[in-house]
Amino acid sequence: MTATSAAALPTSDEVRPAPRRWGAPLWVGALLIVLTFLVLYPLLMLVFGALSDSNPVVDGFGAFRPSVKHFLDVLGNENVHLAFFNALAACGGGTILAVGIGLAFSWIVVRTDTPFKGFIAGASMIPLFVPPLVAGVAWGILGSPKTGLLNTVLKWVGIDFRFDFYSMSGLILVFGIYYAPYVYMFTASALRNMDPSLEEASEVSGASAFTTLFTVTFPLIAPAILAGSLLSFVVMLGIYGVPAALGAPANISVLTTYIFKLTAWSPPLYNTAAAVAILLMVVTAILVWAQQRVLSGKSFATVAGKAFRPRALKLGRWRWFTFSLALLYIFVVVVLPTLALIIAAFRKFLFIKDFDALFDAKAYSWVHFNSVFDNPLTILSIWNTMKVGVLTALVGGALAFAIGYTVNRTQVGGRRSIDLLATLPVAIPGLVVGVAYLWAWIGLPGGLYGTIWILALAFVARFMPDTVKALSTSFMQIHKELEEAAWICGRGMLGTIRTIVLPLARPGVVASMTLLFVLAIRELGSSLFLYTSDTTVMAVLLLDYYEGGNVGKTAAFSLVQTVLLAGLLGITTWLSRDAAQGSARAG
Amino acid sequence: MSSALLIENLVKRFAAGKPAVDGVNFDVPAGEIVVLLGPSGCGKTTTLRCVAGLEHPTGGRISIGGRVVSEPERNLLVSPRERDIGMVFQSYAVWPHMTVKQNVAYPLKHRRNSNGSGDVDTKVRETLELVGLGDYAERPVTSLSGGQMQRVALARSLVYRPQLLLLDEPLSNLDAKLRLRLRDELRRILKQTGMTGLYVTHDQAEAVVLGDRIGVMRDGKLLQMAPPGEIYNRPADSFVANFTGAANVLLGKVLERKGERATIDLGAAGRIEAWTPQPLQAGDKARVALRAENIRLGERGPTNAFTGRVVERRYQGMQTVYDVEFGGQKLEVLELGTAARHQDGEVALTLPPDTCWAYRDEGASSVE
Repeated sequence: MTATSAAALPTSDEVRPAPRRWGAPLWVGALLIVLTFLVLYPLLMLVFGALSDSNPVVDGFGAFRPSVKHFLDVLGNENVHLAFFNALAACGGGTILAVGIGLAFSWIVVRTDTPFKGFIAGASMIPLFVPPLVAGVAWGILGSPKTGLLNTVLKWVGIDFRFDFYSMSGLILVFGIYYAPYVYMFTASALRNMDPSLEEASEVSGASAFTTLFTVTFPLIAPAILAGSLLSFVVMLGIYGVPAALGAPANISVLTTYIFKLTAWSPPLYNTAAAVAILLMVVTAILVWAQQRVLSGKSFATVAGKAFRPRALKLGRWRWFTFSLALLYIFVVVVLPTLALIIAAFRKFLFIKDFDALFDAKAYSWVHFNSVFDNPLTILSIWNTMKVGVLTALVGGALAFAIGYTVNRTQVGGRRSIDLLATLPVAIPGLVVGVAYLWAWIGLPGGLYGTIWILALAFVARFMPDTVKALSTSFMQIHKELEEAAWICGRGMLGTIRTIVLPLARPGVVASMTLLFVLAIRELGSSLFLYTSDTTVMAVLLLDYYEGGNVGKTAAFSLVQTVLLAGLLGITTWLSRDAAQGSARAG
Repeated sequence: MSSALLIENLVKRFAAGKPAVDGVNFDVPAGEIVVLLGPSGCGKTTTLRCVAGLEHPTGGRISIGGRVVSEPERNLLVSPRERDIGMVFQSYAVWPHMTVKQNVAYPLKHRRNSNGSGDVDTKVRETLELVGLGDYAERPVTSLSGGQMQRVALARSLVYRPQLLLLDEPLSNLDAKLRLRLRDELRRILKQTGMTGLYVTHDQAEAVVLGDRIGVMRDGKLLQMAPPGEIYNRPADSFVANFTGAANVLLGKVLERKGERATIDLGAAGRIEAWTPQPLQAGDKARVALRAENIRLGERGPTNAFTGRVVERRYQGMQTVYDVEFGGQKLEVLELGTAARHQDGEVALTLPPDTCWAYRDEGASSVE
């Protein structure tokens, strides 16, 4: 009886081919195993590591002596406290600055008639692509207390003030200007989506433009401001490059640099590093959770109703003032560091006696580049980086496609768990992923440790949430009925994916893989713990040069990296634009 | 008595192309409510926003309470906050981060000439009572319904008794039933406060109920400005006639015209006497507009009596719509009442001359 009534009302499950009855659980099981292997197992090992006092290298993999006391000791340690509060201070200060800059920028770009807004909006995104260590190196060259280029200029001009970027304030400043785009992205879109009559109502009510800004506009986009600042705080918290470059010379440790320092002891304090990594992860997770809460909360600013164009305030002569503010920012964050790197990379000696010496052609040469490329490790690291990038893009892209499709497009049981596991890394800073992978594989004989693959898998896990999210958006744009039509035409599930979904989602897939590739080749935090001399990558080698103390070589290699990255970005943008055109043709 | 609002030769041009507002003239005496009516894109909202100061006119002059607030020719432009106006927006535009009371008190707190703040509470309470939200003062506005939000917006624009109240399609985001209720109440509130109002809508029913005068706009031009009765009974051109609901059109040729009376030859259907506001000449092509509810079915009057044939009958409960054919032309006729009295087949019909309006035929000018 029940069987016949079920047959009378076919559910969408029954439209699909019969083998799925056992195929689906098998598929879900396989995905869960892969995700467990990539995400859960390293995390568990990290927790074990934090809660034990046995060293996997010394004692072997099997030995595990649980010790909660060790974990508590670490949490009570003064140096950990110091690193923790330094991190809070640097990221807190950086976030406040980032909010100021991001908010000002979004207002200028969205709400005023400042000239060349498109250029300003585009250029202010550049900091997002600069590897943190390169930024740190550049600002070290600019603002080191004795030889910093800025200070040299101040001396020429005769101003008795010296910058010192090897300090907490330097750290805050560099954090603030480089991570302002995160705030900008949120506030700009909130401003764009805001019903302009909310502001007009205030103006008609008799409030001045200034009052309106602070009583109506900013309170209305408060959720976006909060979400943006939480995100930039989380990103800063997980950054290794900037504090390594600017904090280390002044002995300022933040959580990330402190964790790495622990593993560089002899013997390495892996247990302590795991414990501090967990502390960093918990703080990050709480903030990410808070940010998700803010984002999922009801947004004030958007109002359904008639379409509107955002208001552009006519600034009159003041628009040149806002324009120069924007130019100043772009100069400070893009032009100045690039100039510093170029000067440092091509000058034989960084010391510049006076203004004329700056243009003395004899002082410039390719000597630093030559010595960088004389080092066999340089070519090896570039080669390794490319290999890791390609592996990450291919493996991560394919896995994200499988996960995205299963989660968004099927009704199979267990897809919630898949989603959860795949999203988990969003709350894990890269450096913590590195420590977790270290713990997961270092003691295993003949395992992944010491190969390129451990880097690639760590990156796949680390960037899984971003990739799945990017792919899911492109799945969302493919109407479900397109697939259903293929099923009805007699295509099986896999056939439908191959002939319908994959071609239509191609631009999205290409874009996600490109993104993965770019993220992988500039990643430093997770590489730090996983490379060996055979598998060293560019970001790690740059850190080596920097710590070696040769500014010229460091700057030269930074430039090499920047040019490579810019070139690859250009190629990949061009590639994904091509793919997008392909889809436009198909549509 | 001076006009609360005077608009002279207003022009507003966006970028290239036809001007959005093209030489509009009218005035609103104190205490009167003028409704601008027209299809979307006719320039009514732009006109309103120019009066508010939210758009900057390209030409002409706007005066509020005898003070010129906008005259581009003299580079004169008063900012919205100094025009002493209130405005109600289509999207309500109540501030979601404030309570009802905070919303309404906002203008009292931020206006430059707010005379003391001691009576803010009293004023807010009185105004909330007026719009029927007396008990809602402490609620967050986001907890209110659409209709209640629009009441808050109304209270916010009334609380400081501005010289002029501007309303931009305030009811069109509400559902149909609520719209009717709030429409009648809006009229009561506006009249009770003696407010001078400029009201923009595309809904004729709203215009008729709310307006002391209605201005019909099309393509940036003001076609007719008159009391509702005149708009409905003496539309100045075929667009006004059509837009206000005279959907029937008979095509013919002018035979002769005496003053406002014209005789039109409808061909096979015969001749028809009609009223005309235009200087039609004998031989001109003409279109005669008339409303479905003005045609008398089953009656043979002294003039304009014809015999037609009911082709189709659509019973709608409160009324019945007949498709009637006569002399090769088609008419829609509306009969009020719950009884449908006419059968398919031959029927007498009278088209009273005062309700037949003849215009020069300039091609189709219907509004869809």
